[in-house]
Amino acid sequence: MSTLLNLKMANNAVAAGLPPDSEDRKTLVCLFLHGGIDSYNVLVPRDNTRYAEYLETRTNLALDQNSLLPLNQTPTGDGLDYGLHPAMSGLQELFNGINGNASERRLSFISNIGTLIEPVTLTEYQNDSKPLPQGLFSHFDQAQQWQTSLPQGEIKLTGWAGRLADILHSQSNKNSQTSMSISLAGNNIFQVGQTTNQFVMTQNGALTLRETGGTNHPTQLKNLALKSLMEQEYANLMEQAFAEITSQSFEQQEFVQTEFDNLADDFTGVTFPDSRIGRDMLAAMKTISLREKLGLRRQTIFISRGGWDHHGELIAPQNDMLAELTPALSAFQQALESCNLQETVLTFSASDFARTLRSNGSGSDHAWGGNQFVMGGPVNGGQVLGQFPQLALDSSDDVGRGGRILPTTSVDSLVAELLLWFGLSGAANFEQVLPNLSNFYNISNADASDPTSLPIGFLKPNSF
Amino acid sequence: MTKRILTRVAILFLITLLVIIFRPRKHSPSKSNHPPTTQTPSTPPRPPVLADQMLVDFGSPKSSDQQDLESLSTFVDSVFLQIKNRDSREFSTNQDLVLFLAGKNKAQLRFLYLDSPYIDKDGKLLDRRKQPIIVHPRSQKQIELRFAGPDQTPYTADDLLWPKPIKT
Repeated sequence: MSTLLNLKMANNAVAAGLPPDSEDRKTLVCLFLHGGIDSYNVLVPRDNTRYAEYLETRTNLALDQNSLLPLNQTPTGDGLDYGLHPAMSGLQELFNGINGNASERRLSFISNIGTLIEPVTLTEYQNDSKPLPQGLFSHFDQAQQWQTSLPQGEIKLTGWAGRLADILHSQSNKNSQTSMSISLAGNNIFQVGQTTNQFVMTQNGALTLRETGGTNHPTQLKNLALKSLMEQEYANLMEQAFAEITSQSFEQQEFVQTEFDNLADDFTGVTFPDSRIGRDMLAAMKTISLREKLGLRRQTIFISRGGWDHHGELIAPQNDMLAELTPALSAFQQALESCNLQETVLTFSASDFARTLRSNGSGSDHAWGGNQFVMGGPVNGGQVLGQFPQLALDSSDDVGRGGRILPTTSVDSLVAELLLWFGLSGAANFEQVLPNLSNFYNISNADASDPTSLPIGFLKPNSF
Repeated sequence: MTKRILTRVAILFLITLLVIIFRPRKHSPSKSNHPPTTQTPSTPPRPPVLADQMLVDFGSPKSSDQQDLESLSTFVDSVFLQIKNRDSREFSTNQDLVLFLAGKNKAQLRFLYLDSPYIDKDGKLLDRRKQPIIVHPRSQKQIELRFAGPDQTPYTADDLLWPKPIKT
């Protein structure tokens, strides 16, 4: 079924009638950290008082205070002192300013964000008096809800990027036949809409029937057989139509692949790390560069990096993974800057959930609200936004069982602000993409010139 | 013939008489001739629950790690079959799972007692080596159970897992 869906989208993958150069182009990149990242060891209180609380709670999971990379917040942040995980120097630079230039900050954090249907207090949680997200603390449901923004569940689930594409694709990509929803991580729920679906690519480009592996390689033989089937003349009209559509699909996949291959790996002048996430970010960069040729003014890209479910051991594996992730993100942003695309791409991180503050021995377990980042030229960088929670066990932010933090900022608020930048407008459209948004924010209050009027406030003034 | 019949009747009469004399009698304090004594009120027998049958050998010498895992997983599966309206929030940790099994579920059905030998004073379900069993919520309806195994350290090679991990 997924192959058929992909074929359907691939059938649309052809450049036709590019919009005028003056028209803006924007890409929203979702970096999904599957498994539930321990984000309270990513963004850490650094002042003595709060660090002491962090240390007391996290015990053997606590990072050394002196190892934390200092973050210099702008006055519009929350005014508190934070440090970043020591393996994240590349993101420290994007937070504090590229090459030490504080006017070129590209990264902000949103603290204690998570899935919610409506705002909930600890008492309401304990009394079960407000609707709560289904499947709390479970991987599958929480990862899904970050991607659907429908924590109450639906019979027919769609992702918020899919619902967004349902509205924007026909408006913004009028002359394009390409799907605006590109996945570099296989099929996902994030980009499933009612009328649109994702176009799955790999680090090496589109899925094609290119012949590889020698004349007797099974894949080549299979591809030859498939091509032969498609080239036949069929008396049955349905069969003939299917063969033609399939044939066109593969031709168009070839088109995307050819354009992709025309871009050398160093086409931006930036060398991406030779890691899995590095290759993913490079593929994303190439895909963004092809927006114009594919006739896309709006594009979403889904990237996933799994393995953050650190029950058994947290410190060493997370250090290694952040040390792999950070240079890839850093290279990506650097490449955007070198191509002067930095104002047209906004990247955000997401994850199933954060993890318990209390150590389970050497690791941490499933929790709820955590810290995420937004990165790019449109971001008013250098801020920690939202309400960073108390880290003491059994505090008024803790729903219990070892420091599972009740979120104070909803996924809907993050998404709403991303969508304002992306060009979504009209209360009805926001209602369609984010049915729960009105529980948190009145979209008619958004004033582009005043970031404090926005759901969270991470966008630069007048960025939409 | 008549003599034989009379003998049998006599024997039956004697047996009946003995039964009447030595039959167990209900204790009736008000009619007792003995002085009243202080007695602890006897606890009424508690109704049996599913764990009494399904976890009867859990952690005992008659069982093994693998058999414990199988019996516990079958038990949890059986409970989940009966409580279809459930959510991972109710059984996302060891202690929450115990409470769920003990009746803190939407059907308010009890499947085990908290004073069972495999539950410690903190309400945690323990394996045969007194190590807490690890509950890993995978989805709204399903969990993974992990036993620390002989080395008593979780997340090591000798752990026992249910469901078994899919080998790729």
